[in-house]
Amino acid sequence: MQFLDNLNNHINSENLFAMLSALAERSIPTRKAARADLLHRIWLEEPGRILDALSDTERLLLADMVHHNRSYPDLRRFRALYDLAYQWPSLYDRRKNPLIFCFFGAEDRGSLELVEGVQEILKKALPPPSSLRIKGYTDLPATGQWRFKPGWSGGTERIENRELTSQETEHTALIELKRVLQLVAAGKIKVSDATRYPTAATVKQVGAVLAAPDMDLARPNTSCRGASTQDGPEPVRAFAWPVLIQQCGWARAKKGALELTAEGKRMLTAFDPDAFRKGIATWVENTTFDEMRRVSAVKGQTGRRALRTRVAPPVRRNSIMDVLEILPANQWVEIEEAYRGVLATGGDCQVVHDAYCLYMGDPQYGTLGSYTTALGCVYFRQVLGESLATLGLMDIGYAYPHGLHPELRDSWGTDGEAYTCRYDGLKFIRLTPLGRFCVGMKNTYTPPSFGNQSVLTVLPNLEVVITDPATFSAADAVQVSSFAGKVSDAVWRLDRRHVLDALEKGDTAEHILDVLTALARNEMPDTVRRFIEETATRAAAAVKREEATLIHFVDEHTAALVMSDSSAGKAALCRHGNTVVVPVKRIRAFSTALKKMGILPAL
Amino acid sequence: MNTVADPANPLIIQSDRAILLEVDNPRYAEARDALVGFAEMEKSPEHIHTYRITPLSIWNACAAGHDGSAIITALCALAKYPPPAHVLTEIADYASRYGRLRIERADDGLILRSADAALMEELARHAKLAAIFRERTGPLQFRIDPVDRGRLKQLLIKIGYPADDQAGYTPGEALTVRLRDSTVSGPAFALRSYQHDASAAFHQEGTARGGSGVIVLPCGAGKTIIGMRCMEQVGASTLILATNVTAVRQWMAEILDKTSLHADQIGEYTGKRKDIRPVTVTTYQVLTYRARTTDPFKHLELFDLRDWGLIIYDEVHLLPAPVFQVTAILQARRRLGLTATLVREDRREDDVFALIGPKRYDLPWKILEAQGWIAKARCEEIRVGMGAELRMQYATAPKREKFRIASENPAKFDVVRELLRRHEDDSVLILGMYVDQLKKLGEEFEVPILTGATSQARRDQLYAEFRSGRRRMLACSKIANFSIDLPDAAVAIQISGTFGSRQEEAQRLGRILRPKPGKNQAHFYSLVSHETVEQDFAMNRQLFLCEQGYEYHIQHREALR
Repeated sequence: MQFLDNLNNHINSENLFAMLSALAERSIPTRKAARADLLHRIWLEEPGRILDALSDTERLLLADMVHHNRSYPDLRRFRALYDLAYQWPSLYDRRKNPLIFCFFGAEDRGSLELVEGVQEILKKALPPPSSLRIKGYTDLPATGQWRFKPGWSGGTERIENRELTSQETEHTALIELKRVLQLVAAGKIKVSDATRYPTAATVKQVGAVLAAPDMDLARPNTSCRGASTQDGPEPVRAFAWPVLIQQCGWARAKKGALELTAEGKRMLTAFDPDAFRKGIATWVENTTFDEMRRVSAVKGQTGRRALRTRVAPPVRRNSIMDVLEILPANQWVEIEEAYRGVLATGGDCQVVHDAYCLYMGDPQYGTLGSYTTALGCVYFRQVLGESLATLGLMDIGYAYPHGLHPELRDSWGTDGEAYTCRYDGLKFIRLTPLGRFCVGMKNTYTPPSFGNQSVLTVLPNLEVVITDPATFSAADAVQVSSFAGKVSDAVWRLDRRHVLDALEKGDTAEHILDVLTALARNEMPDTVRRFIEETATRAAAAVKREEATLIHFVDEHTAALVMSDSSAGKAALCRHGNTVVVPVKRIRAFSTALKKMGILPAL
Repeated sequence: MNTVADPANPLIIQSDRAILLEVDNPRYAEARDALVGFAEMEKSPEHIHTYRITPLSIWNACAAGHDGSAIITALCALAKYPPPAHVLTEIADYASRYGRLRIERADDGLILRSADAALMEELARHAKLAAIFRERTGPLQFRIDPVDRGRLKQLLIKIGYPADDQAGYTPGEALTVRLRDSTVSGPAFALRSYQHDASAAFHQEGTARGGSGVIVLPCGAGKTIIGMRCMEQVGASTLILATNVTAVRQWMAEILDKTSLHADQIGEYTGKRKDIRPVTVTTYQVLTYRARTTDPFKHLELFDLRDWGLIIYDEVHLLPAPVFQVTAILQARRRLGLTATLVREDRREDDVFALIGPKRYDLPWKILEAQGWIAKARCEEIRVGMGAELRMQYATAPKREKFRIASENPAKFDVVRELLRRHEDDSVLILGMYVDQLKKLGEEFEVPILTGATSQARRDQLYAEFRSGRRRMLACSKIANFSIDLPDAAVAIQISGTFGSRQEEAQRLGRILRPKPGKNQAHFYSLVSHETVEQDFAMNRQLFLCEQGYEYHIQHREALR
């Protein structure tokens, strides 16, 4: 719709009068069409008069739209981008200064559309707005500050400072990834068939191989608001890793345990940055897991209504990945500022389209219908704190979460929960070099040096001696124990039984040797190499299994007679005494042949 | 001294009292020298050597003059990580037990003395000990008969309180023995430094602290020479116990060649001859011979037929039980044990400690190899395939016949031929288990065969020809396993062995370890039928050699060509 058509069709005569008055036009025609024509002529001849009469915010709104080629205004994004709130004039205000509406036509799809033909003039007249800038800090502040606005029950604004703990994740993640993949290779990661989440025993086992202490989410002794139902230290990375390696396509669940995929096996053999980045891309598009499910305080997520209106997790993760691209390098960014970036880049972490189906506390009260954006931020924290930090894409600065409920403080039901999300206390994030590589800010990535990983010595008498127990991780131990038996504190021994067990579980001689070579500080002794290879060769001597049926005849003569029959003898495999062995796949032919001989097959 | 564990140190001390020593560590030599004093070396494969601390090893150390705190300090100073606390406590405890009981000479016999009244009360109530104690002469001492000295020491070590035997020895019949500067056969002769050290550690300048004990040295290190040096130091008539007649002759030849003794001073006490002279050499077999199991061991009288001042037990790890019994009543005589290993298959190491004496000297053979005292050995296992017909015969044979079929694989002869071509200038020993197989080999390669049925004269002749270089090859059955001396054998080809016998593998390797001119390199080939039970047994033997520090190579026959 053109500018003039919009004035004629969507603006009433009274508002046209108000618009012309706002332009200080002295003689305003009485007819509506004349008023529209006059305003149109002013727009064409002196657009500056109209633009000058708009507020700064309105001009910025228009500039943002035309310079970003948008036809519809997105006030939430606008607010996030410029930290300016704009509200369409109310019906009452439109009588005073409704000039902005001369640029917007009929409401379509619930929004106002910029009229056609004005973009060029607006682009020339309005300078491009400044681009999005995310504020960052070189150093992580010692404390984080949470502001609590007065709630529905009144009170005054309260500020709470909490000491922040920083966690640098990149180095740790690369070590832990390998260890967790080692556990998978050893068949030690068990998951629930239904949820594919790790079992409690697995979480404990993964916890034992972490390269650095897990996030400390325990509340200090000083009491604060919130119930104590979730006060115990909870595993974060120990739980996250088994899920993440599935999301990244490095492992898959099979019969209650994870097994490595081809990508996982390659990743275990050697860390490849490009393969890792590909894994992150797979994680973004994964639809099996929804991180929001870990926010157990938000209930109703598995309800039919919630599932029907759920925003697909890849959409949310893509929004997060988009904002990571614009985070300042090597700077700590406040979580609220980062989420502002999500919204400002047009993204959204909206969990469900209809948040009225979600609640805290009781389903009859405390609906989260009006907390759509807040829930998005909860999800944002969840993904950053649990997934991306575990994967080593970002460093985090956090405090314990108890009693914060940053976005949902006024919601019903929060007082029954110690926190909404484990990561309510996540305050600052900083993209790591690995993170910058994964989001495309860097083309190459060089993993940090892990120093000397040679933790054991392989002896020619088939013993494996742990010469550096301090560096020999529990994951290394699990892996070595899959093909060697422990004989003392620091000595393991390769033996046929253990190697056969490993081979039976799908391991290969090459992999066993690779594992030993990777951990050993000496060259693989000839005796060890031969032992493993020959055990594998011998283990593979049985090449095919086929089922057969034993058919017993009354006596040896009858069995021999049957075997001498051309059809029955051909179908049978062999005879021993009065017993004839028939492969299952040839049992029908054998039965037919027996019948022809007048013998009913006793099958 | 540094007493703080440092990851740069070479020792890892485990809770089972095993100690792992990193060979590549700069402090390896220092740690090795320290460990030899109070721990037993269990295995010494490349890279990491394993030692073990046992009560006996601690008591051996105490007998040699160490104390518990010195051992603990040494361990802490060399440990990569803090040693397990209980290990240190146990060391201190074991060390404190040694010497708490002393055996001393008195006018009317021997006295067992202690300063620990509670311990003496405990001993007084011990049934077997009470039978030995003749009289309690005070709250802190018992009188015992000299004849019970050995039994007392055996019992005390079994209850964990080894006695410090300071009762001394009878001097025995005097005999002047002098080591020659050059051997009778010509070449100059002098003791090697470790031989000096070993004999000095045994003799302890003639005091009661020395005079009994065991010297542990590998095959080819010259234990016979150490024995002769000890004879020289003791200066008394000597009874030498060896494993077989060949070894007896070897001892006699060596004594004649390298000492001032004459042939008429040296006697052979074997099945063939029963000469008793100032130096008499006999076999365990003769001493323990009896026509029926109910008969007494009449040759054990030999111990009393002369006033021996020194008894030498060669290959002491093979000492038979009856000889132990006799030795228990010979505690007044000086006793020297010689062996390559203290480990006994019957687990009677504590009897060796109590009756022969503590370990006086130990030197791993890899060290001797590094110093050039024994030859460097390259061990190779060659896998030989079986023909289709033999393979089927093997597959269908009863389990107990499988090993023999695999061992006698005729395809091994082709490999022998290839190896002989490879070593055409070297002296070669071919070792086998089956006489039939050896005979076939002998016919095919025109090699004389030495078996149990070969007369001693024929043996001596063949050995002499082999030593002189007139004969390049010799095939031997199991008789080659012990104490024959083939100085110039540079290559051993094992065509069949006794199942998984690790001792046999070590003994056979020992045949070629004597120093060689030139590169001082020996070759040990073991021919094994591929994918058979023989290969499994060979692995056991091979692992043992790996644990002794020998690099083992495995190759298939095809790779030889």
